[in-house]
Amino acid sequence: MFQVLVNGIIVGGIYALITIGFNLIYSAVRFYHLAYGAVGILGAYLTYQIQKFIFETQGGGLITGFLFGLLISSIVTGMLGILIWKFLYRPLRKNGASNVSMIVASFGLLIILQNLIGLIFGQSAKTIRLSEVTTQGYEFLSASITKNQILILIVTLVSVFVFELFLHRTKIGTAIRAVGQNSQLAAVVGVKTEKVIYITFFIASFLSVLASSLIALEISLKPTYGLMLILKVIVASIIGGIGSMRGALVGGLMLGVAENFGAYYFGSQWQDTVAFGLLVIFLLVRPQGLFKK
Amino acid sequence: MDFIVQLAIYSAIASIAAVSLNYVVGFTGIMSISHASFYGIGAYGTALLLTKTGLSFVPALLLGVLITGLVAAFASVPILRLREDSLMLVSVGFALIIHSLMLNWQSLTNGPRGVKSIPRPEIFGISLTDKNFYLVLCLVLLVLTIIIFYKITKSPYGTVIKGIRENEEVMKNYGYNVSKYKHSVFVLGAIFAGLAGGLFASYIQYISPESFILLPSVFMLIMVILGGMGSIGGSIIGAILITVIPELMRFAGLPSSFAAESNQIVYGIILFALMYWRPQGLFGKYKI
Repeated sequence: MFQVLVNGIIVGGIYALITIGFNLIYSAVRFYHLAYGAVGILGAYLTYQIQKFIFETQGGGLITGFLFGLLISSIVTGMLGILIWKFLYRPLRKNGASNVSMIVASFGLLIILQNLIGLIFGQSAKTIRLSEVTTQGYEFLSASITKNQILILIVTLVSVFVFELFLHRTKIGTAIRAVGQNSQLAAVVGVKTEKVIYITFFIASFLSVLASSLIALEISLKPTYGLMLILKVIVASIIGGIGSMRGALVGGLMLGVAENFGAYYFGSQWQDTVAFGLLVIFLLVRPQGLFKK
Repeated sequence: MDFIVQLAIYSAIASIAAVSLNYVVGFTGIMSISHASFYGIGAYGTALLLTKTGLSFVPALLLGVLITGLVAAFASVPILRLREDSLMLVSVGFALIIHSLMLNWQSLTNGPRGVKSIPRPEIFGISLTDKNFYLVLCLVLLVLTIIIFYKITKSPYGTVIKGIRENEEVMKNYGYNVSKYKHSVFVLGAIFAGLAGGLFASYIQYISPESFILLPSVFMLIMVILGGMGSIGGSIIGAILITVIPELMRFAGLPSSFAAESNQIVYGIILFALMYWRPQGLFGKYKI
């Protein structure tokens, strides 16, 4: 039982991390960026590739390679996030596309990205490893935690902490929050909305790569996981209240825990059903989520 | 020739599904992406009745369609409480739950192995194992579908549902029971998706959960959007185009290992480009 909870919290932490980015984008541009899941998975593939390169040709360690790959691929994919806004979404919005139109277009983008990943990296599953042999986990209050999980916890906690500081203690962070609350008013008082949106897309895509690479430590990567991931993100963000940062944290954790308990009681094949059951329940009972008025 | 007949059968089945989806999405403005699930339920219902109970084709298809309608009636309660993009999301959630049921309710659906050797139909003693006869059956049902939806959308009832698409609040103020209208539209649309699914199962003779997850939903949506929201003729042209394009791309000389991915990339580009240049589709009048 305690073990299930621990596993749930660890997975939930990753969900929270990627949902924060999704909500950040949603509150800045007010539409569902569905391709976001595939962007994260693309980044995770990059991480995998860089780690492999460092390990096989440069003689670096697996963990060094992973952390290095994580950094590079987050930055590269962050740039990609900006390009997606600048050259794809923004012209569409300028064209007067409705929210439903935007969601359809971003779904198209999701399909394109997913298949590009398949073309470039192949359809076979890939796992990011941190050591060549499976290592013994640590015992902690009758639950065992693997080394991978510890790394996941550390990266998640540090990222959330740094992000919170950034959002609340820096000028750009304040501008991002202002645009999120009321973009027109923010523009009136002199916030450069467009620049803020660029930064938002960068940070969010950055976070999505961190989260997806961490997921790749626990389950293997497949080109089609972008869709599954974005659906999980949407569930988490609706539970917490779409657009809310605190909601993303709580929603992600709740989803991770619920999924793991669902798998524990009903069998792992029902894990996703539990997640979407939760979505349906929340949309019916509390469609505004936990943290939104 | 055989190949062309086969494409014609697929196009006709796709047209039935697309026209019924257009009725829900284009005419009434219910942005549902769960249509492939109803298509799948119709396919599974018909296939299981044919293989497990030994019912003959016509009662099996009718029962399959009836089951689809019942599921849609239940599903519409949560789905239709929402609107626009949240409705879209919950319908995706519903589609995934249905897929997971098909995959995991092994005793009923046979799980990931799917349902094999579904018999081709026999109607009034005429065996439709011949593809040409099957095409005739599909075309007859397609014409029937077109007539039914054409009549409905031109009737006073049709005017009300178009009004709901344009402005729900106004229709409420006029005293129409908007929710009742939307439920009936949703269920009728699903019933015809189930019919298309039943036809598909009996033609292809083997179905598995993978045939009814994301891709068919996307295909159907692209057919409707490409053809045009609220245009029956548009949906049929959309259905034919989306069915034929992958076959044409085979002649483009791409290595077959890339075929699946490059097909899907083309669909993705079509979706994105449509939203940019023609959100109302080729023949539609209403932007989404």
